[in-house]
Amino acid sequence: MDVSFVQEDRYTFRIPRQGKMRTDAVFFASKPILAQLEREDYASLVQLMNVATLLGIVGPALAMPDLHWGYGFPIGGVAAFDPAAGGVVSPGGVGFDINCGVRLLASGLERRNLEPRKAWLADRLYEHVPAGVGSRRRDLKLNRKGLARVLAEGAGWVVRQGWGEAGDLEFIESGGRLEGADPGRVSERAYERGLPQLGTLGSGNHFLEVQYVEKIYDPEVAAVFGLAEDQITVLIHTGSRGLGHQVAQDYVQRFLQSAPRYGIELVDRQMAAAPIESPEGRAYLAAMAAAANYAFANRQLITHYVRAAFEATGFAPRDHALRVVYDLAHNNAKFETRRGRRLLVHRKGATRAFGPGAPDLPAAYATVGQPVLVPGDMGRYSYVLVGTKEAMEKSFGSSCHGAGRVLSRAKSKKQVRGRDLVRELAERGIEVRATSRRTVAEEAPEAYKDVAEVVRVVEGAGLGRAVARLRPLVSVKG
Amino acid sequence: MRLRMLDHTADVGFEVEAGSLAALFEGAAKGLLEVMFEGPLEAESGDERRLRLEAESLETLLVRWLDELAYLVQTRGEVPLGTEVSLDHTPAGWRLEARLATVPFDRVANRFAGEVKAATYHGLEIEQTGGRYRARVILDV
Repeated sequence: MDVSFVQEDRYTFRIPRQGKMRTDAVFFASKPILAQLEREDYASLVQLMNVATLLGIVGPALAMPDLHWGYGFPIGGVAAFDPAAGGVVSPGGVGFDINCGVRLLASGLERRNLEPRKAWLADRLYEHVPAGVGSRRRDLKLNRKGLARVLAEGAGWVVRQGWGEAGDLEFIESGGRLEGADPGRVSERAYERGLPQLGTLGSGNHFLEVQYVEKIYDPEVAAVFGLAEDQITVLIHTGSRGLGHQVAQDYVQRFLQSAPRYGIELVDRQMAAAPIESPEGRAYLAAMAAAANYAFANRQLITHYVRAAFEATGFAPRDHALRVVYDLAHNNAKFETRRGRRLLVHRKGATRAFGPGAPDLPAAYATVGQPVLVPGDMGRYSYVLVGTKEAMEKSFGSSCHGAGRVLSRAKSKKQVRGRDLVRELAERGIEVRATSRRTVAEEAPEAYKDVAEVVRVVEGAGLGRAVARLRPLVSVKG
Repeated sequence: MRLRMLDHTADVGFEVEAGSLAALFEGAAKGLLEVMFEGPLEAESGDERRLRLEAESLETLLVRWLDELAYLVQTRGEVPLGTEVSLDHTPAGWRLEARLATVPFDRVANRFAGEVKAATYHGLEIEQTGGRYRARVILDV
């Protein structure tokens, strides 16, 4: 497929409709990001054009500035579908890790309180939060019935077990529970995979990071989010674990079989789709919501373990005072109303970024917009942005979700070969604890784009505004 | 059988080539283990497990096979160090029968390099040229 695009303004590019595309595609980029896309031979833009071929798509197929090649939809892809116009739902537009996301906790501690106990806290976090394969919490007794409640009730179930505070729920996207979840649409295999993994981090790019607020860009909004310079924060990145992966696998296969019946022509099998208003589509959405609730519950339980780890390090609850700033998903499909139409918005490796006055915001954030959490790599920094009204118009209220890789895992490993990355990072003030040294090598800071460049484009395109920058002090990897 | 690991920015994968379809599937299992574990695993005598899978196409069968093996490792704690595959054409598509020699995960846990979420259909095609079979598989990790 030919890829030709026109620049609309400094950071906005449009691929006019061509071939089987039903709409245009729009992506946000800068010169350095364009150069990276070109080095990939525009593979991720071809994927974006494939998205534009899907039935019932509304508005352009969109890609955020952290766009990169995925399977099915590109990572960073956003697309909305109209159920009333035969619009589809695609597990390839959500990702295998359903409702993967990040949660930011803010503490009552300052950097000077933590520095002397940093290594100790790193060890406690590593002990308290299992990675998930070959390690689990023996003290968590969950049976199939309990898991079904997790799938129906999400983070609230965890809080009701005493593992969290009632106030936590208010600061989770959708209150920590997606509506329409049906635990009966989740296969037995998914239950089996999910049972031992609730409260586990996973491997790959998932992490748990302790940070400090290095810089405040917008003092007013920072005050609303409760963030101040030198404050200790915690960022948790994980998703729905094996349960979500299994739901995705089950329904990709089911959709591949049903696609011909609905006249859905698949440019790429990983983009298997079904009409939203079909028995298959409805079943997937109910199972996807259940997996999403598992992910919300997972991040909630890990929050509980993080609090316990701080306490085991000698910080009393009233001192660490860990509270949820926000919990934000970057792999899901949600019904949202745009100009009176109910649309299903897919975000794959893209986050919601609702601006001031938008629905479904915590009351405390209603006048400023929601926090948008943008993790960087483990050696540099992460950002907290705030959603904008412009994003509501331009990107279905969506923004970027992270830095995006620039080196493959193999290249990253090659580059750090012979170096002791854990020691290097320790010398830079970052304590790393990881199950696998290979993961550390694959996740080396230089394997990722500088997230600052992504944030610059997000701000330039009006999809979000920087509020604070966070520097890592402890990084726990699976 | 020839196995070449692919070097892709966002995901990992492998290309496998073999003289028969069965050997292709056995090679793909090796590719999966290479992604999941660091270094070659010792092929000690293990437990035996039998597996039977069906699918309407060879590609779907390959995805199922790899997903099944990843599940065995990550959920059941059984690592299939050896695989012996036979494939049959059926009226509904294809059937795979396999004999696996597995070792408990704990025995190789120190070599575990990270989870595989799923095998993807992305760019997946099983090609046959001059009696050789070739497949390219991208895994989501």
